[in-house]
Amino acid sequence: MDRFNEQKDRIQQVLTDFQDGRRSNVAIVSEPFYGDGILLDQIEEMVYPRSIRLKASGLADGWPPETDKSIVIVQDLHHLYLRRIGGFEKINRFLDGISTSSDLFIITCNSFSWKYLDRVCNIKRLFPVVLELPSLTSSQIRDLLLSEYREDELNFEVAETPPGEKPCPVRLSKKEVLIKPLGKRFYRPSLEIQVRDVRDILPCIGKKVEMSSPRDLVFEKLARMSGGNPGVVEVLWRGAMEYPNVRADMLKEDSSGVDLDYDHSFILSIILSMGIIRRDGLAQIAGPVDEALYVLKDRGLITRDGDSCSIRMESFKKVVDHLKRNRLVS
Amino acid sequence: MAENATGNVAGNVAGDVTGNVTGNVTGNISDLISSLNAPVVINTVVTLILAYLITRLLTFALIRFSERAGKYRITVKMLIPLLKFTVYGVAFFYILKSIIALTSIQLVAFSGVLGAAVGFGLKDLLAEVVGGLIITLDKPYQVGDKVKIGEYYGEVQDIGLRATRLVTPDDSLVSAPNQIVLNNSVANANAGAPEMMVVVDLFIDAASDAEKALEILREAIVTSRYVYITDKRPITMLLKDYPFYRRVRAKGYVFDLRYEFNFESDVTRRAWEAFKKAGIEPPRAGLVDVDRAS
Repeated sequence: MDRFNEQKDRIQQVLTDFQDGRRSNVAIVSEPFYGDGILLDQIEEMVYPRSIRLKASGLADGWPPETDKSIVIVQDLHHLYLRRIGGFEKINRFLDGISTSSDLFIITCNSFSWKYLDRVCNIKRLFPVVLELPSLTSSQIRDLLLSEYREDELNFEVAETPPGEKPCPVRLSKKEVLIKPLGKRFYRPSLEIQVRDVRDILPCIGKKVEMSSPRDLVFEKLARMSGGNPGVVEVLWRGAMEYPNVRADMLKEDSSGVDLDYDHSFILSIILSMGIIRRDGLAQIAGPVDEALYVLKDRGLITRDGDSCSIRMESFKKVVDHLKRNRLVS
Repeated sequence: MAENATGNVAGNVAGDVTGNVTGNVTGNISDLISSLNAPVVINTVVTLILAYLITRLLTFALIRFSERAGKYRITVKMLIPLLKFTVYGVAFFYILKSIIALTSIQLVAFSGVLGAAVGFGLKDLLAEVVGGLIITLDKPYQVGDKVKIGEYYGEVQDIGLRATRLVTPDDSLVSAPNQIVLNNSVANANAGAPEMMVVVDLFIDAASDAEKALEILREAIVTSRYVYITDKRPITMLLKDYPFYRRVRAKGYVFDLRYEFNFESDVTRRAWEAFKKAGIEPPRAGLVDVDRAS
C-alpha cells in the first residue's frame, strides 16, 4: 500500500512546472516519527539524477555546497535552528540563500517547529507548496498494517477486561453473520446481559460502549493511542502482536494526564519540536537541564540514547495533548 | 354651601383612604414582625448558610477545575460570580417567598422599609451589590483577568457581592468595592484571554548599534519560554531616539498572564547578556529619565 500517492502527485506537478520554468519550493511537514523519510526516498527516485539530498544537521554554515544539481532536497530543516538568541543564524542564511537561488528546494520539517518558524521567520513565504502529512484514520491504519499479511493470517483477540477486573455484565457487541447465498459477511449488533448482582453494573457506569468487531477494535484503539501517527502505530502494533495473535488488551490506554511544572513542560516542548536533540543543545536553550531530563525520563515521557533525547513513542499522544492544552505547541 | 359640601366629602374620603392605607401598612408590618418567630429566623439563617456553603463549594470546584482547563482557565472562572449572584438571588427569593411568606401588601410594606433603610444606611452597600451585578453582566473584567482598578494592579481573584478581590504582584490581597466600576475607569490587560501583552523597554547608549540591539531583543522575545506568538498576537519592535540615549522596545504576548513578570525578566536578562557580548552599552548613569522615556 502506498500512502503517499497524493503527495507524490503534487510533487510531480511541481517538477513539471519547474521544467517549464516555474519554481515552487516544497515543504513536507509532519509530526516526529511519521516516517517522512520514506516519502523523501520516493521523491529522490522521481528526481534522480538531477537532485542532491542533504541532512540539515550536516549543513555547517546553513547552506548546501555548490553543485550542478538543480533540485536540492534537505531533510529535517528544523535542525538548522536552536531556540536561543543567535540560534537563527543558519536558518536565516538558508532562507536568504533560497530567495536568491534558482534551484528547486524540497525540504522536510517537524510540524511543531514549522509552525514556530513560520511565526518567527515567516518561513512559508519561501515555500509556496506545503504538504502537511495527515494523521491516519483507523481504516488507513488497518490497511497499512495488514498489507504485510495474508487474509486471515492474523487472529485478533479481544480480552476487553484487564486481568483482575470483572467483565461488564451489560455489553453491546458485533456478531459476524454469514449470508451463504450471497457469500457475504456482515456484522449485526448484539446486546448481552448477564446481571447476577446489581453491584457488578456500577464499575461499568460511564464507560464507553464499544461496538466493534475484535479486528476493528484493535485498529480504533491504535488510532486513538497514536493520534494517527504511523511511526507510533508501528511501535504499538509490535507491542500488541504475539504472532499470529494480536491482543487488544496489550494496547493499554493511559488516561492519566501529564503533571509537570512549566519549565519541564517547556523542555518537553523543545524535545518534541526537534524530534531528537542532544543534551548540550537543550542546555543552550534552557540552561541546566539534567534534573528536568531525569524527571521527564522517570515519568516515561522521553527516552535517552546516550547524549540524545527524544519523546518516548508510547507517550507521544499524551505529550502532544499536554503541550497543546498548555499552548506550548500548536 | 356647595363648596363646603364638596370640601367635607373630599376631606372625609382622603382621610378614610389615608387612614385605611396607613392602618393596613402598619398592620402588615406588625404582622410581618409578629411572623418573625424562632422557626422563621432559624430557617432564614439556615438558608443563608446553605447559600454560602453552596457558593463556596461551587467556587472551590470551579477554581480547581479551571486550573486544569489550560487555556480555558479564565472562561471557566467567568462562571463563578454569575453562579454566586444566582445562588444568593434564589436564596433571597426563597426566604421572602417561602419562609416569611409575604403577601403582596407585605411585600409593598417591606419594600418601603427596605427603601428607607437603603436611603439612610445601606446606600453604599446597595451600590456595591449593583456594581457587582454590573461587573457580572457587563464583564468589564472577569475572575482571572489582570486589571488596574484605581491605584491597584493585579489578578482578579474573586468578584464578590460587595467587593472585587485582587492579588497584586507583591502578593497583597486588595478588596476594591464593586461600586468603583460605576464611576471610575478600569484598565483590563487581557480582557478574558489567558495571554496578555508585555512591553519590554531597554535603554542603550546612543553610540551603540541600535539595529543589532533590536535584532537581539527580538530574538530574546521570540525564544523566551513564556512567549505566545500567533498571527493575531505578533511581536512588535520599536526604536526611539532621546537626547544622549535610545530606547529599544519590544511588545510581545506572554502565554499566561501569571507569567507576566517572569517573561519580562527572562527577556531583559538574556537580552542584556547578548547586548554585552555584542558591545552594546547602557546609557551613562544619570541620563535616562524613565518616566519621560516610557
